[in-house]
Amino acid sequence: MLEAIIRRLKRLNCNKRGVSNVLVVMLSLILITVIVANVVIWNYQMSQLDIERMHESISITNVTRITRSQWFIAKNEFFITTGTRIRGSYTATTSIDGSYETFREELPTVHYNPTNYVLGGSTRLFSGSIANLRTDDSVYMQFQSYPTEFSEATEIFGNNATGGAYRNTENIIVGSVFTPTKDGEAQSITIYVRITSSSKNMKCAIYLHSNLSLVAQTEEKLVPVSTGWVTFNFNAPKPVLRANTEYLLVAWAQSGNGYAYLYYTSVQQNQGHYVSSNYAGGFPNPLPNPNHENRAYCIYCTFKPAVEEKVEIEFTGTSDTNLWMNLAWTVNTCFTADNVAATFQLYNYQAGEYPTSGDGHNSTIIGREEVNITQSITANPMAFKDAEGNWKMKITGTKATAVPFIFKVDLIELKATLSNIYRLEISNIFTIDLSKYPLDYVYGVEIMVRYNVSEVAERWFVKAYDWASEGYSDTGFNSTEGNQPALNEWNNYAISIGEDWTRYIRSDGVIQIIFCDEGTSENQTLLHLDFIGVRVIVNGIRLDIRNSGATTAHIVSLWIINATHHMYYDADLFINSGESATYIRIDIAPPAGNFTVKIVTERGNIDTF
Amino acid sequence: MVDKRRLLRLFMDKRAITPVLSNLLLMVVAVAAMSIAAATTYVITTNLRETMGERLIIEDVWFNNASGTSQISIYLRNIGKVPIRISTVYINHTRWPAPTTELGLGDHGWLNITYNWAPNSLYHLDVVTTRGNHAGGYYKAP
Repeated sequence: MLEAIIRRLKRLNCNKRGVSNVLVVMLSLILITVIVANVVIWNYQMSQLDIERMHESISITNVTRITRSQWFIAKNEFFITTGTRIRGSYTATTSIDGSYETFREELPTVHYNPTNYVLGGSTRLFSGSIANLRTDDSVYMQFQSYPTEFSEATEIFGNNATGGAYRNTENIIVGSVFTPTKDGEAQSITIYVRITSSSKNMKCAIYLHSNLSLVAQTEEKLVPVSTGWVTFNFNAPKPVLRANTEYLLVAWAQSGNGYAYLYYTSVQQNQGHYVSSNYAGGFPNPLPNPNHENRAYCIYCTFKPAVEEKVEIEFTGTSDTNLWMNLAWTVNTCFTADNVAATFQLYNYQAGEYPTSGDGHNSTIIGREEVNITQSITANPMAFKDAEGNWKMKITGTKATAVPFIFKVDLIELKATLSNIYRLEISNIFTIDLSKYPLDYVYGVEIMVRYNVSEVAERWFVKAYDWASEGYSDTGFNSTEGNQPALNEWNNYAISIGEDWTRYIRSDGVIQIIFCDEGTSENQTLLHLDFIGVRVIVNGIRLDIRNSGATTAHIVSLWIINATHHMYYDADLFINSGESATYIRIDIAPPAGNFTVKIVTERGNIDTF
Repeated sequence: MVDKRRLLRLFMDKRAITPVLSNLLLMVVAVAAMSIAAATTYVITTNLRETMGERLIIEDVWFNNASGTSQISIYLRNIGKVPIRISTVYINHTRWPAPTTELGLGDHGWLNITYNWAPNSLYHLDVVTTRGNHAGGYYKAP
């Protein structure tokens, strides 16, 4: 068998004519295959197209004219200019369904907070700013008290031990850092010194360690040759020292024959300070860059501890020049100490003084618990502001203690009532979907309010914000006389703006609406708001289309045909297989009378309605 | 010396020329024949494909006299896979002059034919492309 195959191959190899024939046949076959494949594949593609077209089934189920958009409703809570929200939320006003939001009329008020402050005595701002006084949010403005009265008994702070080692203080300012635990009035500084050979002039001083500023210096003394404690008194006014503050107590001696040694004991790191400085009449202020050492020099300060601490601040603010019917002021505050005697005084401009009793005055013992101090002034509230509307309030806190305390104030507010007419003004913003309703195809705006009131003595009004003049207006409204409600019934109040409506729609589609009472009734009214919404007036067409075919349909054109016109419009709408869609075109104004609507798909199928 | 002699003998040998020329000639003829065959194939298949790929629909027919003269406006859309060139319009099986209209892939547009149509009459319209495809149907004038 193998031999036969080899023999035939050899023969084929020797036969030259056979090879040529095979080549020609193969090339011809390739050509034919290319032709057939090309045609067959193309034919398959076109057949596929035709099959898909046959499977596509699109139909218009309904066509309606559109003259109004959907209602655009509130997306956020109402802003209340005057009045109070009683119950419910804005979500209850988004549909006519019986659920509602309730508001109540209130007397119109204005609120004012301080804009500045002045510290009294040595009161210090501890933390916060005047902006923290606008709301009761537990973010405080804090002030630290200062001592106002001192004990007759004295105490000391410093190092009153007698050390064994010493440093010369001739033309050298030498001392150490110490911290008192009480507020007090410094009386003197005492040092343990050894003077050799000759008497020397010496004096002492207190520096504030934090910035090396001079607090006060003592009298100068000629210290005789000896070893012992020497006291240098402060002249009046004597310096007031604050508890828990680092002070640098120093001594300084004039150069002479011998030495003026200041003794020390070794203690914590860098407690000792010294700096070379030629003896002069006054201590340098501030102390120039001292050297540090681990020494507690034998120096201490004698002081009278405080027996009373006080904090005192005057807050100032501005208001208006309107007539105030009533004035209520509120201070939300506390202290970091118990039983602080606090006094609140609202300046009486007519009397020209801070009242010590009655209106504008309050004295209360306040501790660490946050309290609201309030007072309502009904008699002559105008006396508590000047002709320009300025007002001021002084707050003092006093406590018999040697330990300073912090006055924490969270809110200071003046609330003035402007009228005895109960008012309600609520507003909100409504956003037109400009992607669906471009302003070019809008012919007007409609506003609807559905509400119920507990009292019908006054009418109710809707106004819209005029973005051009930056104020609420009803220009262009079909009715500007308001709506007279029926008692305990749901009242539908509809407004149409057919003219100048563009002034009420911002470029991003926002319309701001205010709903308010007439402002004539002294009775307090409840308002139940079931619905408030805005919609635009358009002239368009709505098609309900169903794709009952097996493939996704792409509608590419829309025809509106009547007896006189065949109007073509480009369209671009995809509908999945088996789904229905609503196609709204507000840019297509349907003709009057009967008309035919035709849609065409990308595959060439057509349906009419 | 030996190489020179061999080269001289090769040039002097007349018998080798004829087979080379004949082979070259045969190759040229074969290549030319195949090129012609391939080009013909390409032309034939392209025409076939374009003819098969044409799809044309009439979206709308409007019997009007909007321009002051009676005309039949036919809105055409090319839904096929090749550009279309309208060659002829037949109205009631009679060839009627129509403006030359070309529609690219996905293109659409009006084809206006001046024709004095009669109201409430039925017309058979047939739009024919240069490749011989056509779209048409019966349309009633309003």
